[in-house]
Parts: sequence; C-alpha cells; structure tokens
Amino acid sequence: HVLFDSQHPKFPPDIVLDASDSSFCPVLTDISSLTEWDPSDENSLRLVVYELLELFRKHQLHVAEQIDHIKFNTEFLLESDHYCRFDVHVKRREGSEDNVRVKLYIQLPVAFSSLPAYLTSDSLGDDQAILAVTFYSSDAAHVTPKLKFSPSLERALGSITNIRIPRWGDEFGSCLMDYVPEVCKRIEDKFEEISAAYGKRKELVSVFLSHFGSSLIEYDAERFSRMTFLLSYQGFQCLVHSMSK
Amino acid sequence: MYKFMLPCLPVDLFSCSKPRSMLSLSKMAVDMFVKVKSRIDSRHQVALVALQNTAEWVCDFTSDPFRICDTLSSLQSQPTADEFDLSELLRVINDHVILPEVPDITLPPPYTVRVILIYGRSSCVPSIQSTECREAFSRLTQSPYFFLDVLYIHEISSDSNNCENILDALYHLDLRLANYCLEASQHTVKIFNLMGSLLAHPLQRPFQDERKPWRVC
Repeated sequence: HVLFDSQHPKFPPDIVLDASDSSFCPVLTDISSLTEWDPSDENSLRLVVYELLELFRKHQLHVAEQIDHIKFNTEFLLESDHYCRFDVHVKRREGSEDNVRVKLYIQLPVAFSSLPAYLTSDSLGDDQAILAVTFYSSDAAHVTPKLKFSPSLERALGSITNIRIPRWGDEFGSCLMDYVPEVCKRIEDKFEEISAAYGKRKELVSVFLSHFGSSLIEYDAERFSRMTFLLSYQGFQCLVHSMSK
Repeated sequence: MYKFMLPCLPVDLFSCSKPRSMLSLSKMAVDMFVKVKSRIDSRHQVALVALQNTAEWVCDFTSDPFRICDTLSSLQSQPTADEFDLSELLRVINDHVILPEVPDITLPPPYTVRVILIYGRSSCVPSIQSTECREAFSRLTQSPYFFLDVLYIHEISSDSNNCENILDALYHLDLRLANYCLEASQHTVKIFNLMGSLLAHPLQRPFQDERKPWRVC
C-alpha cells in the first residue's frame, strides 16, 4: 500500500508492505523520487509508484530464479528480443517455504493491425495479448498456461472464436523457448483467418449490392455479417435474409 | 448502427364504408413490419404514436416487438375530425426524440430516427399550423439522421373526397428528397408490399423512384 496525505503534500507517501511479501524489503535510498520528494511536481507520486513497482518486479524475478526449472525459462525470456516484456508474481503457500507458485505474464508480440477495424475500434488503450504461465516449485511438470487479451479485444474475439493454445508438455515441448513462439504463431494464424473471412464477407455483400442494390432492405456495414433484400417471385414479395456467424 | 422507428398510426382510419377492416389491416401491416424489423436486427427500437385529434405517445421506444403489437391491438377507432394539425405530432416527437450529433459526417451515426406516418383520411388535408412547430420540423429535417416516411391509405379518388390534395400535402413534407411517400387505395396486397418497402434502412436504401423489388425468375 502507498499512503499519501493530500492535505499535507510536503510529506512523502508511506509504503506499507503486505505480510505475504515479507521478503521484499526495498532500500529506500534506491527510490530516488521518495528520497528527493518534490511536492511541487505533479508526477512525484506516480514516479514513486513506478520505482517501487520496478524494484518489486526485480525482487519477484530474483525469488523465482531460485527455482532451477523456472530460472531456465526466465533466462530465455530475458535474452530474447521478442518476449523480454514480462512480469513475475511469486506466491508462497502459507506455512510452506518450499511450496511456491510462480506466474509469468508474457506480453506477446502479435500484430493487431491485421484485424478488421471493428474488432479494435472500441479499444481505449493499446491492445495486448498476454500469455500467463503458472509454474509450481513442487512439481516441474505441473504448468498451466492461459491466454488473455485486453478487455475490448477479449469481448470482440470471444464472440468469434476461442483461440486454442497447445497443452504444455505436448509436441511443442516443456519450455517457453518452444512454447511461446508456437502460441504466437497460432494467434497470428487465427488473426489471418479472421481477416480473410471478413474480406470474403465484404466481397459477398458487395456483389449482392451490385446486383440487387435496388431491392436492398439493410446490411451490416461494419462487419458484413448479414444482409436482407426484398425480392419478387410470381407476384409474391419475399424477404431474403443472409447471416454469417 | 441501429435505428429508432416511430410508426404513427391514425386511429380514425374509418371514414370509409368498411369501418374497422382498414384499421385492422393497418395494424396487421405495422405488426408485420415491427416483427420483421426486429428479426433483421434486434437492436432496432420502435415507439408508437396514435393520431386522433391530438397525437398521443402510447408506447415508448422498445426493442420488444410484442410490446408494440400489444399496444397496437388496444387502439380503437375514433370519429373523424374535419382538419388535422401535424403540429401535435411534431410536438410529441420533439419531446421524446433526441437526434444524434456526430462531429464528423463521414462517420456512421450511433442511430437514426425515422417517423413512419400512416395517414388514412380521405377528406382532411394535413398541415402544420403552428409557426413554432414548422420551425421545429425544419430543424428536424435538416438533420441527416432524421427521416419522415409516409404511407397514405385512402379511398378511391373522386369528387367527394380530397385524396389528391392530401397526397400533395404529404409529398411536400419531404424537404430533402430522402424520404419515402407511398400511397395505396385500400388494396390489401399493395399496402403490405409498401410496408415491405418501408423495411429498408433509410441510410442504405435507394431513392424512392429507384427502388424496385428484384424479380426472381
């Protein structure tokens, strides 16, 4: 917890650490924005939080690297050009120094620009794909990966498809060096599939409009997922409604 | 992008020789329209205004077509008045409708508003008598996201009625040439076909004189 009294801004904030992170004892002199607290600078509090977070990240990484099979994977991430943006969270089971759960949140370098605009238009910030991998110190074979997207993209992609990531330990190996590139490839393949399907739907609607435009009732001009026309057949008027999922 | 629609149904549709049958026909046409529109896109919302001597907002905007149809089925016919002032209708619309404001006209609006006026009087020429309402109507029609379509159901034109003048007055409500003004003389199939034409989205449909249902051989 970072406690700041806005009524007395000349005093720097207090930092209260949770009992579950008792091993984290940052040296206060390492947080320069705290030791050189400037109440006139509106960014002062934000800088304190950033520096504290950075120290916490380094501490978490240090704790995680005490476990051999996790250190092997984090070293790969740190040395790689594409997967070096990641966070670590270590949770120790109460009463057990040996039973540790380590979660790695790896930001995946996928290109969202290939997706149709309607999938990313609601995004408030940068779109992200995060691979969350959970390791257990007690069992090197017990690893659970999970794929997460930024909220707006999760909502949009969830309505179209669920991207299936491979099981840990199967043909794509039991280390991040093999696993993460495969996950990225699957995401990119799925994005390409979504983009191609969108292009086909758009083309289909365009062809129908060029032939039956004078009979148009309405069509989905954003996703091209449906169109309706009013046609005439032997004196009867019929609505023809086409939908794609 | 979805649409708010406002079928305005005159409940005094019966100055003809078959009272109630044409009101029932109009109700069935609106019933079909609302349900099909909901089937095409469930985000469309519809409200209902009953036109008697005044205009009454009888059902607020809803995407539930059955609520509209239930309200519709409860409307009863009323005696015909000698004149009809559209000011009341415009006042009601102004009170209940907010037009979208889109800073960039090249972007699609979040919604459009369309009034479908179903007018059934053969002797009473509609007009906008209030200056304030004429100005309000002018403001409404200046918005590219407001539409006023008309379906005029009338007796066969003769010397004893005023159908041609009424049709002329209804045509002149369309200031932007973007609206549909359709008429039928109590021909059941034609009325339903015209309601089918009115299903078209106003921002995507062709101009009225360019519209035709494609004939499938």
